[in-house]
Parts: sequence; structure tokens; C-alpha cells
Amino acid sequence: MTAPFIPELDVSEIQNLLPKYKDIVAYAQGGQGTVFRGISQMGVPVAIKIYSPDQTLTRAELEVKKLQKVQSPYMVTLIESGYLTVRRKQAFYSITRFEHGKDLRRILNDHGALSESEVGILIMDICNAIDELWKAKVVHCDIKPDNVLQGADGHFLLIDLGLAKHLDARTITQYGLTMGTLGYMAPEQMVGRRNYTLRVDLFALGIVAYEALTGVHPFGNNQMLIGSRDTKIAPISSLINVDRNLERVIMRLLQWNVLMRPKSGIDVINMIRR
Amino acid sequence: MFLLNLGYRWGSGFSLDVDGYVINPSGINKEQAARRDNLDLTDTQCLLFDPQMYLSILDGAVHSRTCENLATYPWFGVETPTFNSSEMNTRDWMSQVREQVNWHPVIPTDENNIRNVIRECVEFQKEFGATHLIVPTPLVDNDDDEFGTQLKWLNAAADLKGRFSQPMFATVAISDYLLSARDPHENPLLQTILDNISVSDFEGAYVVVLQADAPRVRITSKRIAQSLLFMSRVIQRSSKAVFINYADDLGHACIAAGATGFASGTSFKSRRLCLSDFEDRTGGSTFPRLYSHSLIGDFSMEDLGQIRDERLLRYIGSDATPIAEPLYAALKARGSAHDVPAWRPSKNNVTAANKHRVMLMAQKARELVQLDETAQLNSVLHWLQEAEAHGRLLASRFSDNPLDEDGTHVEVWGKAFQIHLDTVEPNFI
Repeated sequence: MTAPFIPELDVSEIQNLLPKYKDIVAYAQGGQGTVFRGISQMGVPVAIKIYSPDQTLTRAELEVKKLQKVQSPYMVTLIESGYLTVRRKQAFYSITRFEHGKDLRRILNDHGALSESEVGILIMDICNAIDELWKAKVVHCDIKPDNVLQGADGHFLLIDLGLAKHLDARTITQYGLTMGTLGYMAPEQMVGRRNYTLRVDLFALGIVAYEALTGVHPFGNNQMLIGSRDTKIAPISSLINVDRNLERVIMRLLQWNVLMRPKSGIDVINMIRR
Repeated sequence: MFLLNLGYRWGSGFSLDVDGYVINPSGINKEQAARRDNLDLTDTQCLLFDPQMYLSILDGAVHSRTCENLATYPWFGVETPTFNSSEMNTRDWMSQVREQVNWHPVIPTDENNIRNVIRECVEFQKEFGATHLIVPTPLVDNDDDEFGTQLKWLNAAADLKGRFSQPMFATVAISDYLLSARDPHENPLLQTILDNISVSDFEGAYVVVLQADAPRVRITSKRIAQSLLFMSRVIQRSSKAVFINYADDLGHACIAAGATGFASGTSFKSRRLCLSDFEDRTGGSTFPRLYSHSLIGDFSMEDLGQIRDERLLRYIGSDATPIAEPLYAALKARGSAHDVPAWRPSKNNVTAANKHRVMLMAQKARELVQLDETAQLNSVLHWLQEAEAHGRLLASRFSDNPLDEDGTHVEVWGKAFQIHLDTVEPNFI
């Protein structure tokens, strides 16, 4: 994985760029950007993510006003976002409330697959977050295990709103951006379709849920296989003993044909509760 | 559910045994429409007012009469003289409109103005007494835009939704060429439209297909027919209602596919949405035709004579209505339509034929909606197959002297429905 900044960003650079935040410390580094922790003027712990300048152009003009209004117990709260001049380049940044917990990627790596009941909770919690986002016509676009946090109460939280795309008509019509992470992008996202809906998030959630339940990625982490309508996904019941209803729900989320997927998170929740 | 398209003035106490009406501003100006008290609605009938925003593409020089009517509605943004009932009657006012109107619709592109136009339009509909509100959207005439323009309108309307108690329907008005190039399940534009409509907060969709030019009254493109069936199914699956307009009795098949209802009428303009029908023409006369649901056609009186002579009247036996009974009786007695004044084949003697058509369409739609889903599919499959088989026999019998109603569409619809069953209802045998 290429580091987003070479040499790495250090705390003093961020402190100068964002002077209203204090006690900034380095937290994590990924392919897309570098994450710092800090404290806001109100004393709220925050996560500051500075995206690689290479990603800035494709994420230009993102509308965030509506995103800032989206409140859900199942989603991290966006405090602010915008652009910073980092080493003479424009870099996109987002500042969210810092949430304690462990991301699903680490959980799966450290402890293996989740139980059926945990996956049920995962699906319902993230569906709630997806519905809340969609009320503001926002799709997250980057649901993956790294962006799902499990708190101490066992509930799950969607984090990293840096890619969230507000479906404002201007951004839709001017930019046919393909955003997301390979291996978790819905077929229609992959072909660069514009004006997509929350169903891209439901598809990604299907992958995450399948992976969390079985420990394996349904498409072998191969985005090309997701793009092909002929790809057959191994039934979950061929890998593990599973509740038939839970399997049915996950397979509905993973429908290649967008129109065959559920139309809302609440529909999925109702299917789970059946 | 069958709704009758009304695009012209109606007389006092106008009432027909249909499930409702769709009022079309292309045929009636705002002040005439406002006098809707004449329309005698029952409690169960619904009333829709289609804003026809999709007709903003009309050319004022070629379609002037239609544009004059449309211009009187505020959502087209065309300046017209103010109507003052104490100073003028609607006829005088409309004369002024004709003299002064300059048809250059102003279709807003920014969010605030779009919202204002939509608000004005749906408030008009509410005031009009519409039971369902139709959200105006411009015509989908460009697949590069991927429904982006229309989504701006629908998103703006969604913000207003809480202010109205009536169910709101999203207009999906699309040019025929965007549907005829690909099968519906392979059509990315259609997928985008249906994806967005099915996850929207609207209670339903109001679907119309605009034909640039059409050689026949009924749709003869297999893919357009398939697309209408597909749209009906997908939108219904998302727990929303669907009204199909301007597809004539193909709408009957759409009900089996999932549509809540369809609208049609008796004239070309009220049966299909075709640009050429709006061109300014004078004169034009019509002769009575008998609508046959069984054969899916409208037969001239001469056609009926030929059918009778071949002893095939039973093919239309189930299409008799009280209005058509005298005609049937005359034909069975080896007489002709000339013996029945209401059906005499003379110019514009179409009142009985029109009433029969409307009554029969409504009756058949009611019979269909009473069936369960599988029985509806069976019923329509049987209807189309029988009509095709009978149509082929008629064509072979009259190869030397073909009927005026050639039934070209029947085979097309039959194939479209078969493909629909194969692709969308694979478990249906």
C-alpha cells in the first residue's frame, strides 16, 4: 500500500493547518489518507483524516452541508470537512467525532468470524445508518470492514464519511465519479453509473455481512468478479451452518441486479426480524 | 383500474362508468379546467391532473393550438393575459391569449425555482380536486444525463411532500427511442430510472412514453411494450402504485404486470402520446369503429360486415355492451350498421362507439384486477394468445381484401408479454 504522504505527515503540520484543534496525535495511516486524533474547542474528541492529494481532484465539490445534519447513533458524526493546502497541494480532509471501538477488519483478523446474532445486529445497525444517510440523499460509497466500528455495547457504527457522496444534482451531472474500495463496490458503481442510490451501500453491506459471517469474501476480494453478472456466489450454507433467513437476507443484498435488492434499510431490518 | 383521458371541455354533469379521469392541459386551457364542477365524480372515482411538463418541447409554430392551452398554466413560465371574470368570458380571454402568446417555456434549472414551480403546480392540482398529485418533470430525452435533470425535480418535490395529504406520483415521461434501442433489463437508463423511483418516498409513478412519430395508434415496438411491462413490475415490487398512460389497451397487460391502472381514451390524442398528433390541422373527421377487447382492435363497420360474412362474429361475442347490443343484433340478423342509427358509418357519428369503448375497457380492467396475481398473468396471456390466433385466421381469410384494422400490434404485444414472463416471472408456467 502506498503511503499517502512521503515523508509522513507529522503532528506539527496538522496543528498548524488546524489550529482550533488541540492535543493532536497520530492515530493511523492507510492508502487513502492519514488519521490523527485531537480535541475540539468544545472538548470533544475528534478523528482528523487528511486524504492523499492524489484523491482530491476526484472528490472535488462534495456537498457536506446536508451530511453534517445527518445524525444517527449508528454513524459517526461529521463535524467539518473541506480542503487544506498540504505541502503546496490541495488535500481533502474530514473531521468526525472520535468513537472508541474496534474496527471490523481488526476483529475479523484477530478473532475470526462473528456469530449469527452479531451479524444480525451488524446488518440492522448499518441499515439504520444507510437509511439516515439516504434521507439526506447521501450514499456512503465506501462500506467495508475497515469502516465499521464495534463499540463496547456490541453495536456497530459506520465511520469514515470522507467518500460519502451527497447526491446533489450538480455533482451527479458534472462528475460521474466512481468512488469506493475495490472488492466492495456494487456493479453499477463499478461501471461509473451516475445517480445511484442507497442500494450501492446495501450491496457493500451484503459483502461485509457475508465476510463477517463466513470469514471469506464472497467474491474472493476480486472486483472484476463483482462486475460480472455470471459470477456465482457460494451459498453461505455451503460454508457454515446458518439460519436460512439470515442467509436469504444477505443473498438479497448481494443481488447483481440493483432492482432485485431491497429498497431500503428498514426493509432489510424487517426481513431480519421475520 | 381504467381512467379516461379528458383533454377537452366536458358537458355539465359529465359522468361515465370508469374508475376515474386524467385531465390533460394540452387540450383545455386553465380557466376552462378550473370549471371542473361539471365533472360528476363518485366517491370511488379518482381524478388526476397531468401537468404535461414533458410537452414543453413542443414547437409553437407547429403545435400552436396545443401550446396556447399549455401556456395558460403557470408552470410553463409563459406570459399570458390575466383572466378577469368580471370583464371577459373565457372565450374572449383565450382569443387574447392566442394573439399575444409567445411560446417559449421557461423551465428552471436551479433548485429554488424548480421547487417554486412544483409547488405552484401541485397546489393547482390540489385546488382542482385531484385525488393524486402528479409531480411534473421534464421529458427524459437524453440518456447522457442519466435521469439527472428529472431527479432534481423529484428531489425538490420530495421536500414538499409533507405539505400535501394526497398521494404523490413521480412523472416518468420518456422518449420512445430511449426504450426501443435495448431490452429493458439491459437498458442502463431504465435501470437508473427504476432504481431511483423505487427507493423514492413517492407513493407511485405516472408513466408516459412520447412517440416522435407513430404509424399506428397502438404501440408496435416490442421493446417499448416490454419496457412498460417491466416498469410496471419493478415499481409495483417496490410497493408503489403505477399508472400507465397513453399506451391504450396495452395498459390492460400492464395491470397483470403490476400496474395499478392505465388511462386511455377515444381519440388519437387521448390514446397515445405522439408529437404528430399535436400538429395544427383543420378538419379531420372520424367514423364509428367497434372496439373489440377480444381481438384487441377497433373495427370499422365494413370490417364487421366481412367478419360476419365469414361467420366469425363469435370472435367478438364477449365484447358486447348495452350500447353495442343493437349493432350486434343487426349484424346477427344479416343486417348492417346502416340499420342502427347510433352506429351508422357517417362522419363524426361516434358517440355510441366512444361510450362502448370506454365502458368495455373499464369493465375488462375491473374483471382483471379482481383476480389474484397469477390469475391475472394467466388471463392476459390467454387474452393475447387468443387475439393473435384469431387475428391470424382473419388475416388469412381476408388476404385479398384486408380488414382496415390489421392487428399488427397483437403479435408484438404477445411476444413482449412472453419475454416478460420468461425474464421477470421465470416461475410462471
